[in-house]
Parts: sequence; structure tokens; C-alpha cells
Amino acid sequence: MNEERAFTPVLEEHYEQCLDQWRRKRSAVRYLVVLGIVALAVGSFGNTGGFARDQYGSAAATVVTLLRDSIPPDFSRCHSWMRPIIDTVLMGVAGTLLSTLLAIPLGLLGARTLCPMIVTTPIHLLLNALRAIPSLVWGILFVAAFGFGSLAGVFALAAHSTGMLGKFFTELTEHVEPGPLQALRSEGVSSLGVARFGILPQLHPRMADVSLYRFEHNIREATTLGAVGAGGIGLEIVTAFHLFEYREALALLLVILLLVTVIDALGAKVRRVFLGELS
Amino acid sequence: MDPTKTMKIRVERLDVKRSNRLILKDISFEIAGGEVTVIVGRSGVGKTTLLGALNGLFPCSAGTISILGLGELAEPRVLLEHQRRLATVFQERALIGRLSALDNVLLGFAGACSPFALNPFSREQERLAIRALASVGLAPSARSRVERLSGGEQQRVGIARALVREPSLLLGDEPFSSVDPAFVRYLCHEFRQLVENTKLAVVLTLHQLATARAVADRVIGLCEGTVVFNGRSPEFDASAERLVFGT
Repeated sequence: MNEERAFTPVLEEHYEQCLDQWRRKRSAVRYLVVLGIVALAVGSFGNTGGFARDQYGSAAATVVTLLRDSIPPDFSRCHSWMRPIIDTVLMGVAGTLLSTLLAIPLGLLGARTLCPMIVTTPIHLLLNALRAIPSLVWGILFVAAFGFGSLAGVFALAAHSTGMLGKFFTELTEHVEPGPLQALRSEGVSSLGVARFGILPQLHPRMADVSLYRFEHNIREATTLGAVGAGGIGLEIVTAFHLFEYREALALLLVILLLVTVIDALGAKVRRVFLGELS
Repeated sequence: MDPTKTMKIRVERLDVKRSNRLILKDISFEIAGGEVTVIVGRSGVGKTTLLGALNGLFPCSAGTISILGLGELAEPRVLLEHQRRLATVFQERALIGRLSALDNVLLGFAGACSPFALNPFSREQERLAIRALASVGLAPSARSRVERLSGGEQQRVGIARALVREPSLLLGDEPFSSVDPAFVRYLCHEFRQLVENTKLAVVLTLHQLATARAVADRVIGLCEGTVVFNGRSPEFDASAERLVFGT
């Protein structure tokens, strides 16, 4: 063996001491992290009234009464729910497609591995702003701008989803294999060509995966947007609650549960295709 | 091959820094079309950096690289034209694992295709890509995903991706490191044939000295970031080997 690479007893003793030191440091850090998480959980729960006994006084009885009042579910008006259900799904589809189209260029431009800080910083600020405002608040804004109906819902979903998807796409872009990009650059391929031929082929199954997940989320989100007048099945539920029609409200919740389950199952199947598990 | 594409490169007093560390110091040599030049040296000596300087990925911090008939690489116009004429087989195979072998070879044409086209590669380019895969014995695996191929097969796809560009300068960073010895002999023979037929200039880094001696016309030995040997392949004897590897 080459002398300079030999693991001598002195070196071995040195590394034994290093290993002990690293081990002590690692366990101390782990204990501190666990302690920190527990303290955070107890602190936040306690400060929101989680340990106040009087808060729990009549809660159980109210829930039982509500459940009793809503059984059996009442489907007698189900023929009038078809249009709101279709609207909800269409809002989800249009909102997701619009946000995906916007998030692809924003995601590429926001990647710190591709673009200079002068470009990435405003993109990150824009994505943060879009994401920071919940869909429901976007819904109120767009209902004011476009009036009641599904169009306001589409833009509300698209605005928040662009922020979320843009952030995901940025992170995905920052983690692509650099080798293929370097190869393209060494052959004089333009930045746009590197994005098209080096980055997108590595990303598009993941992009499709995240977008489908977002679509499933948007369908659930679209059901609540009705509450602020942005169309869909949400308005029916809010109306049923306001009229104390709990049996109809339960029927509507069951319909939404079925809708979301079907969409999730379909989404999972399509995702498997995109991720190549079925090919 | 277009005779005007015959390559001659002059490297003069080249320094290259990476992460503020001087990797290559005062390097000078020439590369000619119709020759295989092999760069040898211990790991970390700067072989990959030297290839990176030749393909324009790493800028020179001092000295020049001139291309006959084009000019100095420091000029953006010259660099772009030079890059269009070269191909590199990278050590970390620069392939996209989830694409097929054929699609990866087609990426060699990316510079000539529109990024906005839905089907960017022409039928003729597909035919050339299949032919390049056949030249490395992988035409039957054209539709297989690269991530499902063995390390040696992936390396051969990388070679096909470079060959399909019909370059006038072919750079290879340990291009045979995962290929089995029998196929290395075959590929060396193919490389030599290609060089003789097309007057292509080939620069390879190799750690197998027997392969280096078999394939090279010229050997350049690097030690501590400088050239310590530059001569014809038969001149690379035991004493030259000691000079380069210090053993």
C-alpha cells in the first residue's frame, strides 16, 4: 500500500476520538430538535385554548345533535345539483390549466441555477404574493371584478395555484441533473434550447404529477369558493346550512366526497402513467 | 466530411481557474485533425478541466486557445461556431435517464432544432441517430430508457450522441471507463477508422494506459496542472510514465 494512504494506529486513534465527538454532537442536536418540536406543539395548542376545559363543555353534545339532525341524507333535490357539480369540475380544470401554463415560465425564470438574481428575486416575490393570498380571498376580489359566477372562481384558483405551482417548478428546476444541460451548453445550444431539450424532458413527469395533485386540490377548493359567490356546488352547501337543511347539506357533502374520491383515483392513475410506472 | 471543417487547435500558455483555484498552469500544445490525442495524469490533475477549456465550458483565466480559420475562443462568435463543430462524451454521462437511447442521441441535434417545435427532430435526424446507435452496437436498444441500460451501455449511448453530430473535434472524458475490454478494443478500432476517414481531431482522457497507447497518436501527460510530457505515442515509455504518475 502507498505509505501516504496507510491507516496507521495513530490515525486510527485520532479517528476513534473524532467518531466519539461526532456522535455526541449528533445526539445532542437530535435531543434538542425533538424537545423543540414538543415545546412548539404544546405552546401553540395551549395558546389557542387547547387546554381550556370550558371550551369542550357543550361541543360533543352539539356535534351529536347536528349529526342526528342530518340523518338520513336528503337527495330529493339532486337533479338541480348537476349544473353546479359540472361548474365545480370545470373551474378546477380551467384554473389548474391556466396556472400550469403560467407557472412553467415563472418556474424556469425563478430557478437560481439558471437565471441571475436580478431575474429570480422579483419572480420569487411575485410567487410569494400569489401564494400568500388564499383562494377564498382571491375569490372575493374576482367576484367583485367579474361578478358572481364560475369565471371569478377560475381566476381565483389560477392565481393561488400559479403561486404554488411556480414555487414547486422552481425547486424542481433547481434540482435537475446538471450533466445534460452542460452537454447542451458545450455544443452551443441557446438558453431556450437548453430549457426545452435539457430541463423540460427531465421535469415534465414531475410537473404533471404536481399539477394533477393541484387539480385534485383545486376541485376541493372549488367547492368552498361557492360560499363567496364564485359558482359551483359550494353555494348549494352554504345555502342548505343557512336554511338549517342539514339533511340536504349531508347529501351534498356525500356527493362532494364521491366526486373528490373519483377525481383522486383518476389522478392517481394518470400520475402513475406520467411517472412511468405503467410503461 | 467537409474538408473546411478539418480542425487545428493551438493552446498557448493556458491558465484555468475553478472556484478561484488555479487548476491548469501555463499549458501549451497543439491538436491536429486526423490525430487522436490522449491526455493522461493522476486523478484531480486537471484533465476534465482541460477538456472543459477546449469545449468552452470553462473560460481561460490567462493564455489563449485558437482555432485555425476561426480565431480565438475568447470571442463569443468564435466560441459559438467552435461549439457547433464539436462533441463531448462526458464522464458523468450527460444523458437523460427517463428518455430512450434514441431520444438521447437525438439531443445531439438540439442546437439545430427549434425549441418551440412539437416534433423538433426530422425523420432524417432519426435515421442518423439510429445509425449512430448501430455503430456502438445499441440499435436494438433504441427504444429502451437509458436508466434501464447498464453503465457500459449508457456510456455507448453517450458516444453515439457525440458521433451523431459528425463533429470535427471529438472530446471524450474517460469515455470507456465502464465499457468491457472487448468493446473498448472494438471502439478504439472504430475511432481510429473514423479519424483516418474523416480527419476528425479526437482528444480523450484515459486512465487505462494500455488503451491510451493503443489508440493515441499523441500523448499529453499532466502533473500538478502542467504539461510534463507531450510526444508521439511510442515515446510514452516507462520513464515518461514515472514523470506523469510519479511512481
